[in-house]
Amino acid sequence: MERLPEDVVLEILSRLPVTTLVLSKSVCRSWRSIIQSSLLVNKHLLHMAENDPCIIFQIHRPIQDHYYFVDFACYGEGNRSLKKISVSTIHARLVASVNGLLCFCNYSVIHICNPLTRDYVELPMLSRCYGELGILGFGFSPMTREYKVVRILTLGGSQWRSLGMIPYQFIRPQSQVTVNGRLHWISHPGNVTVNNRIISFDLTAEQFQEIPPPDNVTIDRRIFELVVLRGHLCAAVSNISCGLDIWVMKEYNVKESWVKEYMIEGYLPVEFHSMNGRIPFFRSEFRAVCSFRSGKILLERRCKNFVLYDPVHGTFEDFVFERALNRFKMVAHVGSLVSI
Amino acid sequence: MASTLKKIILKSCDGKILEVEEAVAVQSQMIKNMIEDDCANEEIPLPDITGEILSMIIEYCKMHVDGENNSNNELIARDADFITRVDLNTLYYLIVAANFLNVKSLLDLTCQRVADIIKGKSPEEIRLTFNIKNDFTPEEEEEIRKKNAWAFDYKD
Repeated sequence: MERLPEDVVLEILSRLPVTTLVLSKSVCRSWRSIIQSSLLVNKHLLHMAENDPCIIFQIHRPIQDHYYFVDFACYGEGNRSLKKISVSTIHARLVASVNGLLCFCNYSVIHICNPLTRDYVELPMLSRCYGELGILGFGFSPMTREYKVVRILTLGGSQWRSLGMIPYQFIRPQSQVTVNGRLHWISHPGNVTVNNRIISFDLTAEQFQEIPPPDNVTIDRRIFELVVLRGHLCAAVSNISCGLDIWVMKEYNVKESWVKEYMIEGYLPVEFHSMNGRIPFFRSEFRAVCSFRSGKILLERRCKNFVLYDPVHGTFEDFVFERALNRFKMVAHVGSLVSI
Repeated sequence: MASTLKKIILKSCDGKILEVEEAVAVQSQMIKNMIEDDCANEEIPLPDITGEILSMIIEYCKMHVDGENNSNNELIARDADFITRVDLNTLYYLIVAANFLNVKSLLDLTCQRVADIIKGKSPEEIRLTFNIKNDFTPEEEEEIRKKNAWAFDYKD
């Protein structure tokens, strides 16, 4: 290995999941210098997009602002270990994870960090709207290679560039999803007679655009959630069996390409089986978190339980981490060494 | 018809001569360039590649040319079958050769295989597997561990 040309070693190391990559820094000096190069960091990010995901947990109980990292890319989908990572936030809301960077918002202070390298930057304050959180979006424009934070407020700000007014209403707080260099949110008109809309924001052109939702009555006026599975924009909506129907937009921004790919039935984790044989809820309590290369989907229930769903066999498997987690926020994450 | 196909003649460092169909040989970007520059009419000497490794590379290139019409999944399965039969020492020479001959898909496959072998290992295990000398001072090593404590939090 020591005799391999440096560019070949870089090619090998850039394919390592982030946990092993960080450990490999202490193998020898030449590996450390390769791992610290920006060439490796960018190449690594591209390779990790094809890998199994990672997860970041932000825990609020019993102690505030505790963070755990789960690396499925390194240890496979059978990984149940939680690695404690230190992120210095105080009561901050986790907005989004992009290219291994996390965006946090604490009242009017927004900061971005890489939780694995502790690289950290605080954005200038947006004056005149202290306490106004608004809808926040954080994304990366692959064209201009810029990271951007978008904030939708009821009033425009000063130091920030105002992009003008938009005719959409949002329920907040809600999670963004990023596909194709665009952020997506659901616009909710606050009126049951009007349909929800999917609003996208192009991070390069800095323009808003509507994305056509699936052409189906069951999704029109129901609350649905956006999620990205294997790079596709998806809409998850509760179904009649208290499970989830997941619509996948196979070809981005093509209305006809929406397919109801998953019809996940209701399922109660094993710990509830003794209580009652049936599911006592009207709506699905599951949220799709991420999917694995195997095609399985990780579902989360009421910030407490996890279930691994196998779409090929239609089976469920309780997914229990080494430590019980309660009251958390979680994001699918790409483990990277990207710096700001 | 087959006899009219142009053959490229390759010579390994241990003197083995291999005749390869042009369609197979051009999987190597290096040989492709030589053909385009009209430098491939005589035997091409490959000073760092043994006959054994060269045969393996030709087997791999043939598999890809013959499998052009196969589905992607089939090719992935064949690649996996090819690469898992290779031991670590051979893998090293395959990488060197794939890099020299510039066979992009084989270089990807072999590098991914090495990465899969490294994945999940501790630094000590990595050094042992690849016979790499630890050239850090204990203090430097401790510094890296401290800065990246989360990653070093594994069960030995």
